Amino acid sequence: MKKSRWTLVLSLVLVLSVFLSACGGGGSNNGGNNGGGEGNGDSASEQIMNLYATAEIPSMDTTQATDATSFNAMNQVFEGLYRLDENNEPTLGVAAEEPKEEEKDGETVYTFTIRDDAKWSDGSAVTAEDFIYAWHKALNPETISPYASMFGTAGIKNGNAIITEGDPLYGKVEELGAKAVDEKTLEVTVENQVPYFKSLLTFATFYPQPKAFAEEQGEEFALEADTMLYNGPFVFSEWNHGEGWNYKKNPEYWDAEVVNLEEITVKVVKDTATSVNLYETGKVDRATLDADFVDQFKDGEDFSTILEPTMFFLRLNQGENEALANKDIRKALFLAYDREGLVNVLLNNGSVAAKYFVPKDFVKGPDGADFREFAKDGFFADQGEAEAKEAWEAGLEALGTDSVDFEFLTTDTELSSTIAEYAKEQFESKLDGLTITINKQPWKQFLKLEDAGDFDISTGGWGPDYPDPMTFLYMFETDGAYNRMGYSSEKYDQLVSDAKKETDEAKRWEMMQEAEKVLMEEDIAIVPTYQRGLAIIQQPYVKNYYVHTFGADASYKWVKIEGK
Amino acid sequence: MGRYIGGRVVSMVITFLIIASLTFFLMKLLPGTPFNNQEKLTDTQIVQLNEKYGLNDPVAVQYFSYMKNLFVGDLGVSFQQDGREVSTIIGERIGPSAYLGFQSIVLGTIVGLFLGIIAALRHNSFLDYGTMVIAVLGISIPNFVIAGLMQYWLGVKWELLPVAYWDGFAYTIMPTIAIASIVVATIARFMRTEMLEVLGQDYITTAKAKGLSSTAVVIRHTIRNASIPIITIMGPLVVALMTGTLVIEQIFVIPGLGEKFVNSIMTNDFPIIMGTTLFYSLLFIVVILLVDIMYGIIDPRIRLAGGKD
Amino acid sequence: MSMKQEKLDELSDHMFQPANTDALENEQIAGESTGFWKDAWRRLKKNPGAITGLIIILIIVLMSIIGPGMNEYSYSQQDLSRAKLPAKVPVLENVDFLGLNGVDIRGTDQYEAKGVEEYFWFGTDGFGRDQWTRVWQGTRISLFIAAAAAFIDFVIGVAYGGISAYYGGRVDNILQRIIEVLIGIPNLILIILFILIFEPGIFSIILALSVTGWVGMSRIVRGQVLKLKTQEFVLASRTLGATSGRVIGKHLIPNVLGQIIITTMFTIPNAIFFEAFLSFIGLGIRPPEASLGSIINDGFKSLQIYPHLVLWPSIIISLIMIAFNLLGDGLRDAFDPKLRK
Repeated sequence: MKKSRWTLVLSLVLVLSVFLSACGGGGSNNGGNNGGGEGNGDSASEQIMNLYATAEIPSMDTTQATDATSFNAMNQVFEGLYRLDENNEPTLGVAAEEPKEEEKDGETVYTFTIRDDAKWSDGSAVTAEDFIYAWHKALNPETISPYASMFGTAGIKNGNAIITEGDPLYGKVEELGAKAVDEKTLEVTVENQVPYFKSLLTFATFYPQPKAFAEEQGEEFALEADTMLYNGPFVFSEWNHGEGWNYKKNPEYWDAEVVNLEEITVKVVKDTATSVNLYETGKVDRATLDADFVDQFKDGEDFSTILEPTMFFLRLNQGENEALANKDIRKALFLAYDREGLVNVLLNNGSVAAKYFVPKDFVKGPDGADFREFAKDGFFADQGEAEAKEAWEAGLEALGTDSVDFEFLTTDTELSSTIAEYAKEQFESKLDGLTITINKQPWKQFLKLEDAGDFDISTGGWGPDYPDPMTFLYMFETDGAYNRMGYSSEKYDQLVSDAKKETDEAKRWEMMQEAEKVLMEEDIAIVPTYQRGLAIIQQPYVKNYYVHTFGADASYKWVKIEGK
Repeated sequence: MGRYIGGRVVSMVITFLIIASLTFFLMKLLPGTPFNNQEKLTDTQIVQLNEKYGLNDPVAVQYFSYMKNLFVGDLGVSFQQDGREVSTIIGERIGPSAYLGFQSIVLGTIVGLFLGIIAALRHNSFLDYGTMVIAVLGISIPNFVIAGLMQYWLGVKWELLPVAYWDGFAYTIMPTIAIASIVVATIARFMRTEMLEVLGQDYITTAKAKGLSSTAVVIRHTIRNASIPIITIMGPLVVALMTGTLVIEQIFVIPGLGEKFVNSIMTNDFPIIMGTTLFYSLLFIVVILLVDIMYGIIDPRIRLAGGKD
Repeated sequence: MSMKQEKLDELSDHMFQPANTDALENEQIAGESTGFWKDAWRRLKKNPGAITGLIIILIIVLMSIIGPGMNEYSYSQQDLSRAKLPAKVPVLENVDFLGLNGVDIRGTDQYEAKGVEEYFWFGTDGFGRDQWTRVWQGTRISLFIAAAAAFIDFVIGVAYGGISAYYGGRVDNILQRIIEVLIGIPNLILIILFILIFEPGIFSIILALSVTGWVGMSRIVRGQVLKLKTQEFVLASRTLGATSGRVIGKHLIPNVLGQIIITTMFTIPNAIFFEAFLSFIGLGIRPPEASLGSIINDGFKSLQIYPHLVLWPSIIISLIMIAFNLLGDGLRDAFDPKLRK
């Protein structure tokens, strides 16, 4: 009796262990494709790159995507008329040659010819109609794209009118200044010429979609790897949404011979420490670091930093807060903030202290000089704590008080919390009588409060949507959608709106620089803090990994693995 | 018994509907839109996008259309993963979570029972305190710290196990240990208490008095009877673990449901929030019912209310 | 026969004394009477595990009160020139294996490298704030949150569970279904809503913890009361005409009390942990205030590079957890009349 009981227990344990190992075995079979190149790495320089992404791909529908992960993936598997090259200049993509330009009634008509060998991954040709189909879809109120405003930004005729409710053209997508003349000829009419027109065409919103296939797929289009067609250097060989996705070289790509990589694996990794650990064990070839890991890796040869054209600043709610409406108070805040400590110790990732608003290494003017050659070191570059205190005293006197309270609105991410804590200490320790209360909110609530003007100081960040200073400067027009702090200056508005219309590049450039000066020096409307840097480690055998300053993060088209 | 179960099922459906409704309205109180580039959208664009997704309708209208769809089994499509069915997403996410949860429960229960039994049999000795400290150690350090340490030492330094990903049995070991540590603590503590309770019962004295060896008493009477109430805590535990844990999934890069759920709440992905909540609560209600029924069958001392037919 | 007679004769009256007939004296208990509490305390004292737990808790509570004031640094004072220093303690710095000599895991003496003369007993964090002060300050806040949450759980849980079980039937059924609904609603949504309504901070966190925190307590109380209310002594008391109030107050509550206290002991560490989880997803305490959970979470990212940021708060959180568990187990044994020897 006793014996049989024990046998029962034993056999149970056995059954369980068999079951468990069976489960495990099954798991390892279906996922064995990753890291296969490891270990027996004798087959030197296999053209496989292993990467990770910090988020899932939300959408592969070019008209619906809004986020960096999607745009980056799309840049590898799709292609528009142009694509960005190594130097972030537009180079020919699907377009066979530079377009013919024709002036007509103050409008410019560009005629693009689509290259004959531009094909979708099923072998069908990329046609002008495919572009029209995608563009109309993006503007149609039924299927409107969150980036629909890009058509207006590009100056394409009626692009703005079609998405403006109440406009007689609202919803009439066929009125868009773009038409398919024949299968391979696309005519685009521009009513307002912008210098960055071709760069914009590299953006996902302007990609074509395979009309016949998309209509056949209906709702399923672009939801899975096999419900879309690709016309870029790579195709999706696998897309396991929550887990990751794999690319494979696209043999149908017109420029397939310059594409080296055979395969790219991407996993979704959200934790920084995990991604670094994966890098150290050779599971990924490139990883982004935060401040602490920089200390550990900064002396290695695989370490580098990239300066991105993304700006961080503090919004000062001068519309609602009486104290912040005082220019001296704003000046004191501007000057009291020690940006060096922030970028060198807390961020420690190649970020640059910024006393300016239009980033450096972003765009070059007509004379070939960086925009940032103007006020190179920012505004009030030679002033510091002493001047801050002076301005603060003057401000308090004007207000007739000796203490001020500000609510500092920030989000729940690690980084913004750090920045808020630092700012609080910077301001409170240098400006007597100032109390800062940090209000940390979930992202969506943060946006709601900021939009409603329910804050005194808030953390802001802005990355460019197109390669022009205007993508930053238009934010602070009076009542602009992104102003959110009640800033209003007639002079600034005038300069910005004039610059938008100006066709003489040199003059336009001057106007924008003047506008920045008004915003920063005359009005001290915001407190810029830093321009974001990115600290990365990348295996030395990964070559030609080109990083972009706007649109997609990078291009894998030219990447090759050498000397692994 | 039949009538009892029938009654419970009816009340289960009601409970389920109440949960669905309350969650729906509470969720609608969350601020902001479900669009993930909200900071770059102008107010007009937000209105247009809301229109497109029917989010401009009064909440009551949205509610009824949601409930109507729910009855035909349509959970809607995700906002964050544009256009994908909620049921597909939950389907592909639940696998890893359930597998890990199951494995952790098996491991945790075995270790937990073992520790609990030892502690109770050596009551108030240092073995007792020792096993309890070991049991509690697992839950006394936040499990993201345990996970991080394991990943660094076992994965990077000693290269014994893969750092992360979801690619087979070896990949499940570290996350399983991290999750099982919670189970161990719970089960061990509970088992110890129940064992002590049973050891004080008269029938144990009787068994000893009639000359049974102490091993027989422990195995046949004590452990068996002490294990029965474990079922009551296993139910909720199973549901909680099978549906995934955010922290572990994030650190070990496991495409599970826990991470998706927290993320959906943070990004206002309404259909995913609802779908996951309903899935979770359905599982929970059913498990509670099963536990109650099983309990009645296993332990003859407990009679279910109205079960006299 | 005759022998017997003889022996009887030998017994004379003077050999006997009258027995004490005072009935009261008969009932006299020689030992000191031990009430419920006294008895429990006496048995708790005999339990070395529980006493160790109690002492650790007392020390930690004491340190959370005096710790932040033990050096001249404040919890919010930043100085980036002394950021991320490892721990360094006078005297103990000479004992190498303790790792309290200001040398980081890569073998550099960070104090020397950064030219810092002072001693930071637990090191400094990324802002150069003194970890010792922050950790004890954080302990104070964590314990406060936990105690408040435990108190709320106690009040609601006991009342809810008691009512549910004592009245039973339909009342019980309805109350239990309400619990199922409460558990079914994701409490992260509730927490976010609380933070929106009441602003982030201690108050929202305590509320968030309390929304469903009491459910465990109520289930335990309910289970116990259900078991007790059908037992003979309750029946006897009823038969003798005791009111509901008396039955609950004199018979049920005292018998459930042990379980209640134990559950509370376990609620406290759980609350500390839940707060740590909230910090993990960024919804915790309002900076620059800190809790143990938020300190660990901040340090977690640099676990591999600056382990001291996680080490010290983790040790304290573990001690709290272990101590409360040991004390809880000890209390359970002390309160359980069946375990009396």
